[in-house]
Amino acid sequence: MSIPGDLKYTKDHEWLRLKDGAGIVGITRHAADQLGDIVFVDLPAAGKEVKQFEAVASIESVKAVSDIYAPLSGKVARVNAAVASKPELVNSHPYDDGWLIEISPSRPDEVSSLLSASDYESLIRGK
Amino acid sequence: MSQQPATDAIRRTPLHAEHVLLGARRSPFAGYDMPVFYTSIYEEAASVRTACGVFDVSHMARIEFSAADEAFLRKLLTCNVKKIPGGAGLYALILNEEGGILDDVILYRKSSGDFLLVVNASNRQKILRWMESRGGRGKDQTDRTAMLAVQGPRGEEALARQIPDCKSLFYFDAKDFEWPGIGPVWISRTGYTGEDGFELVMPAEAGPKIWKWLVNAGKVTPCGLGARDVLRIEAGYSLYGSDMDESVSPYDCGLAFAVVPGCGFIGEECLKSRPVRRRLVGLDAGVSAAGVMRHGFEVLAAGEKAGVVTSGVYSRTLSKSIAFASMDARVAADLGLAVNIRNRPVEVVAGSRRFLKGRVKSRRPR
Repeated sequence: MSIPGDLKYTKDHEWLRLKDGAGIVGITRHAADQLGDIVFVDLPAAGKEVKQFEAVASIESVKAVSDIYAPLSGKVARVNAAVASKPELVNSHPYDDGWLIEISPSRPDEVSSLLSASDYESLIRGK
Repeated sequence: MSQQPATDAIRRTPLHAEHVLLGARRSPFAGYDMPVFYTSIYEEAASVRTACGVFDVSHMARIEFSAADEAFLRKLLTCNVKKIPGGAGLYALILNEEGGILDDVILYRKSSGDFLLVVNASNRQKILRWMESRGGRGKDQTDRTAMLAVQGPRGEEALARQIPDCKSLFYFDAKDFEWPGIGPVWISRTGYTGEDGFELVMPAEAGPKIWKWLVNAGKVTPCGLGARDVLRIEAGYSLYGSDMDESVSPYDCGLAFAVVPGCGFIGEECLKSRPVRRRLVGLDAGVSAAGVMRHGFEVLAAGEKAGVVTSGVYSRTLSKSIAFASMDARVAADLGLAVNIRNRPVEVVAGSRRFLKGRVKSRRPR
């Protein structure tokens, strides 16, 4: 399982892609595989203020419901409407088409508290 | 003095190595290490609805009776055992003396006169003990055999490549066949998916051989218990432990069709006078609702608690959340219903539990 090297990670299996000042957020393949078939994705409204590591969305799989935590504080700029109608995108394309939320970060320095790809890999290997 | 702790070692079916080989995600079920899915629950469910899937159902209990045990079976089961012809099966319930449901089963009468009783895996020990205490002399053949369910519109086509005569079976017919190069296999035209399909019983060591043929040359999709649960709810089939248990009678949970009064079965007397307190309905959350209705969720009628969800899934075939719910029989059927999904009431419509029309191969009506 390859973990994209250009992303940042949280211990709760979210990834963050920083692009032109925006923070795109999704869940890792490891997380999607653990969840199994995803059936619903509950995303926040655009404009919502979020704080780092607070629950900002939830994903329901056949098995259970899991909360998704914001990797950074800021404001929700937009959410991925495609996963609302096709939640299976999160299973098939967790790092691209299955992205969940875009955050406009209010405190970009918070990135330093996130994990690198190799840190995240050690985390999931260790489990 | 040190004591060895009792080990409840997880059991494996004869197909276990095949599930590992295919990389199945597994989970304990009824004491067995069972495949939940191989690729995806919904891909597997879709393959059953559009082509053909195979399930390892070896964990279910298979108990043999001789022809001489018929009187006992008539006492045990709520169906009309007398009327089962040789080479056929019938769905039935086993009740306790109060009319509460101990298990739902299928009884087959073989052309030899012997019987095969298929019992839920979760109830195997309970039913064996119950039968023994009431004079039954069944032989538990579960560990000596394997059982596979081949389900879907292209099932007959696949199976007929090895056993052309399987085409002669209609729904609930059952017969002994010979699988070329492998050995005897008993096949019934039954299933738990609502599709046309077959259930195969074979000696344990033949199970992996037949599985391998089905999955490779047969191009049948391996399917796990996750898909099985979605399919059976779509089709309206109840699951013991979720939709009924010893606290309910058949009339409380939509299983009156499995009861033939006058057959002299255990529990019949109580059933006649026992008040019906509940009913089992289908719930449809519609295409806009966003959540799975799960066992234990409250059902509200005009805002008041009126029932409880007993089984539920998201159906990708129907693009909506569906469920069965046990409702208080006194609640009016036309009240606005809602299911409490994690503290949020979601409107639902009550109706038939049969969300999808069955496509089993019934005999043409005479």
